[in-house]
Amino acid sequence: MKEINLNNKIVLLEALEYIDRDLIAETVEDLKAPNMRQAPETKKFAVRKSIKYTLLLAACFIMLGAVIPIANYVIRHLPFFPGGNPVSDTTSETAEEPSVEITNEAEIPSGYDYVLTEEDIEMMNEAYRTTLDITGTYRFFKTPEETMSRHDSHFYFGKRGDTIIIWGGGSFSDRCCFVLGGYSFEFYTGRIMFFENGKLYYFEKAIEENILTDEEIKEFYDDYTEFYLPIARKPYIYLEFTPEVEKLTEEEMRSINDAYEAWQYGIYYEKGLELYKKVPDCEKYADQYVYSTIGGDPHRFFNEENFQDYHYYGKFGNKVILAVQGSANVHTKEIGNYKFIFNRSTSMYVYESGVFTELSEAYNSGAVTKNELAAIHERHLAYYNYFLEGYKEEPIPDKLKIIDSTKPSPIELTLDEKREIVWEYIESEYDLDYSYGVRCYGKFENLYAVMIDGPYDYSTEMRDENVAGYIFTFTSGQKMVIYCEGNFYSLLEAYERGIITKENVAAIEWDKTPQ
Amino acid sequence: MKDEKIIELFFARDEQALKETEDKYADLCLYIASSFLAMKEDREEILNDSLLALWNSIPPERPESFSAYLAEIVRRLSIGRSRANNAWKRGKNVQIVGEEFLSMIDDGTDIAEQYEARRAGEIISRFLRTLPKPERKMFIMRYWLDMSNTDIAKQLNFGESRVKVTLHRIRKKLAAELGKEGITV
Repeated sequence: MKEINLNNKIVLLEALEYIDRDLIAETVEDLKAPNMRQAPETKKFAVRKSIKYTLLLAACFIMLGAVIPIANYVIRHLPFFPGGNPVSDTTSETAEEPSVEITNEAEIPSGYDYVLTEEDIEMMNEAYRTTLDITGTYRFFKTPEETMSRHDSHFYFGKRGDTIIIWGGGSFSDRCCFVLGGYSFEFYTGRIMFFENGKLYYFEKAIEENILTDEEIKEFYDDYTEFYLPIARKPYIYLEFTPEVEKLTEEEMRSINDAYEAWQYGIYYEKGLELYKKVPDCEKYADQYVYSTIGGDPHRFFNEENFQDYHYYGKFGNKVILAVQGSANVHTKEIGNYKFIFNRSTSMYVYESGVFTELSEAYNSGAVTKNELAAIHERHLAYYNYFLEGYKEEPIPDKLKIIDSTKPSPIELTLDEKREIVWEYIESEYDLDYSYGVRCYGKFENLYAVMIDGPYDYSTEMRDENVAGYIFTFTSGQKMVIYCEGNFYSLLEAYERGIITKENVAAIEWDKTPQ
Repeated sequence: MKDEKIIELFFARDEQALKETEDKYADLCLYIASSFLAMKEDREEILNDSLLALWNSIPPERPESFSAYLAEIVRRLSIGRSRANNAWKRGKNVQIVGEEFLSMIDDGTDIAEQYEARRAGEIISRFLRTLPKPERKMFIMRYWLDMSNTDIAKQLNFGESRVKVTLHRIRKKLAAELGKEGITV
């Protein structure tokens, strides 16, 4: 076979041109594009910039003695003033069809019994422009059909009395939650809009001005739970909804970033090479992960904007408690006597002096005290109260397919044990599309040494693993892992952390050679 | 308006086709272009050029997926503009497209022919079909659309670290696959 040496970057880019079109279509058709015609800076950057220039202007006017015009200008133009926060993403879902198509009146579901007219659209656009002080003829709402679409970034709730109710997705960073008439509403982002008699009300004004009757609120809530919640995305968590937590300084955040990058991603090129060398066991990551710079800037895992997304749980002395989120899969973790339930796969860490330790390990070793753990759990409950209120522990779905492994398993596990192990192992609902086998080579109280046959057994090379004085030879390239209370560890990691003992290692039924 | 109706407008040479396309897909086009072009003005020009390219190609083309066809046009024009802007060293540009992807390839002196690029493209397509759908999408978003890991994570509702790790694994597997087909990396 002719050996082709693709060593020209342009040629490889050319190769991407020849990827089958249906593969491209599959991705492009599902792509959710934000409203690109807003200012290119991020909303928060725009806020900071506008605040900076507004304050500068204010200083000039103050010096000239013009205080009143300044106050008036600032109040009307700060983006976070209620009603002054434009919804950016409502019309972003232009690549998707509306999720409900009106065919005839008999098929219109509850809350959708009012079909918007062109006059309604004009009224709503006028109200929108007026409220946000937008001059010109900008049309936020394009057509009745488009405005009445329903999906997880835009939702038409219909008309209650004289009030048209619409939720628009907005930027990713704003969570919208409120209590109206005793009912609790939560949207992962964006703003809920109430249009009545030519005016636009956001929820704060809608509550203040009582624009909905009790019955109308109940109907709105029923539509919310019946039609919106099943398709809703879960909100990000924000610190403004949580109890008071000690803030980190910029320097502290930077130092956590540097340590996290070095620990997770190995080599840190631009700077901090010294820091990398101080991170324990950094060499073992060196050939696994090399992270890139983007546009010349070093990568930052945590930054000012996303830091709150990663659940900062506060400081206890020199210890910083962090939770890092993974894929969207309800995840529970028991530490001490406390149960932490997350709406995403989440790892909790204690960061101290450049080192990250799992919270459970830190607690078991005494590095985190009982009182500190109680405080962390209390904060967790506050962060997740919206989620936990409606949360029911779900059984492992029937859809999860466990099959007999083609290779022998020295220790036979029950189907329930296999299902539990695989359920913790998989990362997202997409993984339920596959079948899994579980082979067990050791079982010690609540510990299992297993190999899992599934789509993600990425091949590593044939290799030896040296654990507790035994050389395990793996010729298939598959991993053996230790499963313990919802967590997975490599053999070596489990031994070094004290999760398994030397006796456990010796008892694992695998061909191994004493060193 | 449904894509089929928009295509019919193109076939009828009705300029309403361009307006409908812009209304429906402007954000998508600008979003794709934003991966390659930092300047807002450049992206708007690409949008206009893309609409013109659509007008000139439909008919006779009758794309099965209108949005994907348009995305392809936008991408090609954006890469061309990016090269023309000579922005190879800094900012959002083609060189940064999957830097880690390109790093799989040895630097050498030979220039591959277009035939070899096409063949590599076929191999990549075949490889992508063996992956689960989310991973396929991740690959296309990262290396065809040049989206950042952060944006990919948001689109697919994954954690960013999962995106990075998954892409790393995909690259390794792809390198192995290319190697099996006689393409040295």
